[in-house]
Amino acid sequence: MIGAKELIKFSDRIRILYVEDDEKLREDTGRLLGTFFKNLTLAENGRIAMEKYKPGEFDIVISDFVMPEMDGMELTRQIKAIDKDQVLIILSAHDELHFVEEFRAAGVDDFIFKPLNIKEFIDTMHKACLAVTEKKD
Amino acid sequence: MLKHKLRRIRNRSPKGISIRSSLFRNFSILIILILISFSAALLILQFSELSMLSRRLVTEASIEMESEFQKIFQPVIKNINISAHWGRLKQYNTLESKEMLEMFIPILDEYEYIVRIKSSDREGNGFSLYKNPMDDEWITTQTYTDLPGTRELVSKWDDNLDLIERRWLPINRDLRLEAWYQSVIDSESYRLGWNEPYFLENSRNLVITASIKIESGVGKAYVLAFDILLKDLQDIMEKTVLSENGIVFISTMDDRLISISGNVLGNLNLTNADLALQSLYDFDLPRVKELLKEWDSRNRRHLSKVVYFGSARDRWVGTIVPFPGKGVPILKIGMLAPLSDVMHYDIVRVATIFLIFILALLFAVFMTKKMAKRYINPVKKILEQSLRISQGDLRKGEPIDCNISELRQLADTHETMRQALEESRQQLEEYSRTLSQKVEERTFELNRKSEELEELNRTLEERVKKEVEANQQKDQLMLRSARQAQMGEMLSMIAHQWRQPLSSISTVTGNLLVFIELDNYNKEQFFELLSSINEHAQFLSRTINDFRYFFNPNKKKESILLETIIEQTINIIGRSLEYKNIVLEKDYRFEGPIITYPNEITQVFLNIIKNAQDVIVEKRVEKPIIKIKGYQDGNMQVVEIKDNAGGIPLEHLEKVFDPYFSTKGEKQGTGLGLYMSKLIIEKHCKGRLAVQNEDGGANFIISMPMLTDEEI
Repeated sequence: MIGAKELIKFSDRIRILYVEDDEKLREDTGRLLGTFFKNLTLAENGRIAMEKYKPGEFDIVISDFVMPEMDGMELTRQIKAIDKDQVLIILSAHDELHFVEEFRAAGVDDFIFKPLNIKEFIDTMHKACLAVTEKKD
Repeated sequence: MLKHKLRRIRNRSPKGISIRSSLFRNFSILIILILISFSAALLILQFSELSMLSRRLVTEASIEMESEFQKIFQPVIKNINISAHWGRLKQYNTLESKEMLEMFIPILDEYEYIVRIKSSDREGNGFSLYKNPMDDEWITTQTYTDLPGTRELVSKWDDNLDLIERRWLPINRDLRLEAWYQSVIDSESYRLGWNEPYFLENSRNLVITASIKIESGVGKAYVLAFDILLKDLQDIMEKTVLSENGIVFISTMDDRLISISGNVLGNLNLTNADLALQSLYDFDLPRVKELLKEWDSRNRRHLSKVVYFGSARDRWVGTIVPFPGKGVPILKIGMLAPLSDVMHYDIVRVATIFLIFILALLFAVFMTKKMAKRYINPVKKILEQSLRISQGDLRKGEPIDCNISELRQLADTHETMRQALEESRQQLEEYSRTLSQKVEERTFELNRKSEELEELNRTLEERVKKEVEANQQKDQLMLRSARQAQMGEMLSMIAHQWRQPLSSISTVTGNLLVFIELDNYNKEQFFELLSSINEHAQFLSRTINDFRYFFNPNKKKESILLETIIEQTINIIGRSLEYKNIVLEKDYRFEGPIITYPNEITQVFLNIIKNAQDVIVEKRVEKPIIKIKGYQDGNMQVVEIKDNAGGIPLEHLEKVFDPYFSTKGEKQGTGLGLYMSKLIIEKHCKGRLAVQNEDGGANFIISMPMLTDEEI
């Protein structure tokens, strides 16, 4: 089981873009992500995320699924259109599981489900970080 | 009873006369009047006939004479006017006058009466124009006094002329001429003047001279004279006599005979020439003498009247007309005829009239009788039948045949009355016969009915109870299934409500765990994060309370602001809408609280908003909006819930509130949501729930009256 200590090792190397429309959740999740990664950028929705996104700027993009203006699915498609190797994780509720296949097809790398299971979160993030660093090396 | 009444009526009515006698009386009066007027008319006619006859004799004669002369003179005078204007005539000497006279020849040829035309001045100088009796040619001569040869010429025609002439005419011809000339010259121009008859020179023909004065300048005047044969005058008069036996004669004013009807002359074996101006008393003319005698004895002033004379058997009628009738008469014209000749055709006419009159009288009497019969017979019959009816005999009588409208009506009315009486009597008899039976039947029926009623009463209660129970059961079932459906929906709503706080809690606790694991935490941070967890837990608790409250079967009415109810509703469904990215626009303001059932209203709001949400999701509306509008409308508080999902199809618009109507399919809808909502608003809250399509969406309008506690 991967612990928080393993994940925090990537703190300096991995740059994160986190997209969430709910302010409270953005604050809470942002705090959690900030605990592990120093380089964290927040975006209120898909449109703003696309404004902030530039290829090579972020190692991992984490996005909520249901958002006004542009949802996680559309964001995924647009980002993958720019950089098909961009690592992308969808943060979604359990009852939205039926979209998993669609997301996979769109090129989403992994999923984190709400309400958050911290172990799963660390595990998924760790896997993603490893994948990114491997690619970089 | 009826007899008594009839007697009373009969006694009361005045004692009139029968139609028959009335008709007869009227007719006889009419007939007598006609008779009298006819007789009077006849008498008047008879008398006027006679006077008219005589008047005609006279006027016809004089008119004819007058017109004959007018015929002669008018063209002559006219011709003078045309051919010899007065200016020119002034210059005529005697010779020229001769030529002037000759101008008349063609005109005078038309008039056989005129035998001579002469012109003369004061001295007697002038010309004469003679018609030659031998060849009817006109001969122009100097005035006869200056022409000695003339007399010799004419005397050849009649040797006795002198003898005859001396009998009557004054010997001094020149004097006579002078007098005649003077009388004419003293008169007005163109006024016809007549002189006394005299014999035409050298002939046995009597003439009268018509003269007119022609003025031709200062102090100079001519006299133009025309001699007319009197036998021709006789001829004219003869024509006017109607009877064969009638006599016409012409005499001088002193009764010297000039001419007389041919039949008289024939009887006397005379000719007109034989008369030779002898007094008519010298001849055997009894009727003429009688007329003259009668005429003189009556001393008539108005000469044109008729006189009757002779014996009763041989009555004559006659008259004497003066000629020419204007100024001093110069001749007498007598006309007489037997009365029987004149009256003959009148008697035939009178007889005819009388005959027709008598026939008319007989016809009238006959008609009266017939008419009376026509009037009386039906009346008599009706009377007979009335009497019969009054004695109780209501059978149909002999039919009354009558074509007089009033009587026909009377008969018809009478018959109708009789029928009505008969019918009612039959009915009465029938009734009395069947009454007891009917009473029995009715009683039986009544008993049966009352038993049935009792039975019905007994069972009715039970049946009503059963029905009510069944209905209640049905309602219960319906309510239950609706409630169950709502529960499902609620669960989904709760899930949405909790999604965010649960996420937050799990994230924050996860974070805390990470802090502990990394051994990197401070007290403040911990305190802050734990507080936020606590807040989230509070929110969760509030949410579940709201749901619980909503599901509380507490149906108590409350005084509550509609705002509060709307907020509670949003508390339940708001997150769900947010999750579906549906924008909720809120615009409401109410003047005060309303007394109502908050839970039920919430249920309605939830239902409508949930429906809107479902439609929006189903139709994938691009920018979904649900608007909640609230306002005061008089005594009503109105909440409008509107979406932008395209509205309800027209064919569904009237059915959306029907029970079990759903467009969502079996799994999603029960078809009871809106039906329940309608029940709640309209039956329970005494409001109104309606829907209409508006601006590309459905708009549900909930109106609720602001009622008092008791009214709800």
